[in-house]
Amino acid sequence: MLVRETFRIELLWDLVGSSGMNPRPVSSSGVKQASLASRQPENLKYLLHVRLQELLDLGRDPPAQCSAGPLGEDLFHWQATIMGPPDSPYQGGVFFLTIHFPTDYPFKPPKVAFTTRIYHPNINSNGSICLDILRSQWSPALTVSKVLLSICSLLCDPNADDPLVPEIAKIYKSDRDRYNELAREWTRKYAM
Amino acid sequence: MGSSCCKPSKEENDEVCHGHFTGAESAVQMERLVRDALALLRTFENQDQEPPAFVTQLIRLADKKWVLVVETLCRIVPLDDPLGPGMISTVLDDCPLPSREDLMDFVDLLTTLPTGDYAYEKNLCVVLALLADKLAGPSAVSLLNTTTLTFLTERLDYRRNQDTQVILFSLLVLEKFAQTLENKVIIERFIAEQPDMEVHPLRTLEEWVDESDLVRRQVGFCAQWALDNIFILPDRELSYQKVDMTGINVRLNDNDASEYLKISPNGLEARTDASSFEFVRSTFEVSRGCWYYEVHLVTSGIMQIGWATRDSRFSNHDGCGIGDDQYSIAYDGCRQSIWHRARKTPIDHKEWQPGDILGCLLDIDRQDCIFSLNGVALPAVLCSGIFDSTKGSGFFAAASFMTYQQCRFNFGLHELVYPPVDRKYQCFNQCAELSPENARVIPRHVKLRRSSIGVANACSICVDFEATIQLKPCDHSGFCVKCANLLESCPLCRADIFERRSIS
Repeated sequence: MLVRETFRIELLWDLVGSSGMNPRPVSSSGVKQASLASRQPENLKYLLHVRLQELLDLGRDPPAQCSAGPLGEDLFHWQATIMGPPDSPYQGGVFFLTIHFPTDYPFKPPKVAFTTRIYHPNINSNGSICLDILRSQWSPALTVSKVLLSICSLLCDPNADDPLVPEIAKIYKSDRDRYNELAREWTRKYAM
Repeated sequence: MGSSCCKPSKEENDEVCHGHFTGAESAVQMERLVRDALALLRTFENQDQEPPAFVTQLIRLADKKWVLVVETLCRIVPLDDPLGPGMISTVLDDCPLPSREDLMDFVDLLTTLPTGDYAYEKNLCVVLALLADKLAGPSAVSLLNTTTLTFLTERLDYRRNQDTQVILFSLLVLEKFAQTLENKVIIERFIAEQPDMEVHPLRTLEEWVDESDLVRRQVGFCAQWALDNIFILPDRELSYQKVDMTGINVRLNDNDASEYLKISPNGLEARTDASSFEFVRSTFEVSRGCWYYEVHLVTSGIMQIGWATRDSRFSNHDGCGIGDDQYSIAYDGCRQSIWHRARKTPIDHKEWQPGDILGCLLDIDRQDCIFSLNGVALPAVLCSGIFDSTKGSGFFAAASFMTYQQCRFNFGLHELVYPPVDRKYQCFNQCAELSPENARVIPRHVKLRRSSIGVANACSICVDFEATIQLKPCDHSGFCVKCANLLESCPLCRADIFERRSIS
């Protein structure tokens, strides 16, 4: 854990150092004039700025029990960690996720998936998450930290009426003790 | 905030027989199942379709026997099948996530290799690349242990008697692992500590970049790209600083390409190793006359190569490329089809092969669009639809690439191999000019260092321009003019927008 944090801080420092401390007027960038065929270069620039800003915000005010940051130099590709919320059967587990930003972020939602298996009616064995704000209900005002908070609340409060994994939803609705037991077992097996 | 919204896929509803395989019987049955699944996948195109039943069954089995499924796949997929890696990806992408024990069992496979089974070694690399990507982060760090590192670096060493494809794929695996910063440091340290390596292995492989052997050429391309973008060595000049651009007046536009496309330093060769459908357009646009360019195929998998206007909207993560809207048209010689409006028209022609040359002719004046393969023209009548939907727009040369595909473009810098004989034509390179900003393909990490932030009262969406707009009637503010105009509803309260009022 310690090693990764050090990397992250170094990276953050690198990003801030290379951009924030040496601000140049935005209009002087050659990237925009290079736009010949589409809005692509501006998108890239959008993305970089938004991402840097989100990174700085996360560093300043990280949501409880979550962390997120770029995996490496690729700012389109992040990793995130969610600690199993207390008072949920996932307590004590550490769940890893990956986040991919599309080029038109934040107008389109990021692609978020678990890479740790979890027993949950709205998350399938492949790690796909079924959450409205990651699809139709996305808003450009949402950020990674808000998305992670939503996922945390989904862990505490599954939506069994609209499941991705019907078998788990059935058990959640009919036999809550069994559901809790299985979720705890999976947490021990995959997330500890 | 947020609630679950998805319908379960059919696959999870169906009660599929799990099968209770044991011992020798299980291996045989598994093999048969994998062969059936692969045969079906070969003809499987529509991603929205439910996966074929065999594949579903395989995925179910992987829940309990992940390593067995993966191992069987690796043993069965042939070395030279252009669709092989794609099929492995398709199956593995749908399989349940492996547990830590599964991953360690998989790493064990790397220590018990039959000698000379290059297909198996290559396929193991394909799986490792997928896992490094999918499990990026701490799981990928635990996967890259000494066994994995030894397996991969040994295969980078061309002096050992091994297949060039194995070298290529082990290089790509290292690149994928290096997405996770800790792994990158681990790889760099591991390579530096190798006693018998006087030069960095990638520097040796980089020399192959202009080889005529097309697999070695791929190794050279990928080694050079990795050295320019990922494994940066202090004593090596980046390729963009020393590339000879003499005579090159048009190239693939790195500012008009999706994020995971790799473009050569001179901008005339491109490749992708990502699982998305990466695209690029040329720097030059034409709106009248007759134009021709040639594409030399380095690989023979799925690529859609042709023409696109500036109105074309591609979406690499959703598989929308050239030919998948009304503003673009492309030929794909792997699936032997012309693509336009996301519909394919099958062409009666044999599959393209590495080394083949695709000719792309666009006669805007006579409204002809003709593709040819090795000088043999494909039926032109199928292509004329492109001119109906693009009236007055200019065209760019454009291409989309599936995973592990690569090709080289000749816009007229070199002599054409199959120039059109039935009409007068022009080449981009004779008429185009590169603007100073487009003179070089600059690696992203260099671009990134040049970008800047720092606007007072910045827009909350792009963090780029000053926030000067208030939305009516909800009165929410904090957006710049540009972003406000792109919004359909208020991002904070989702209210409809009747007016965007300037408040600066």
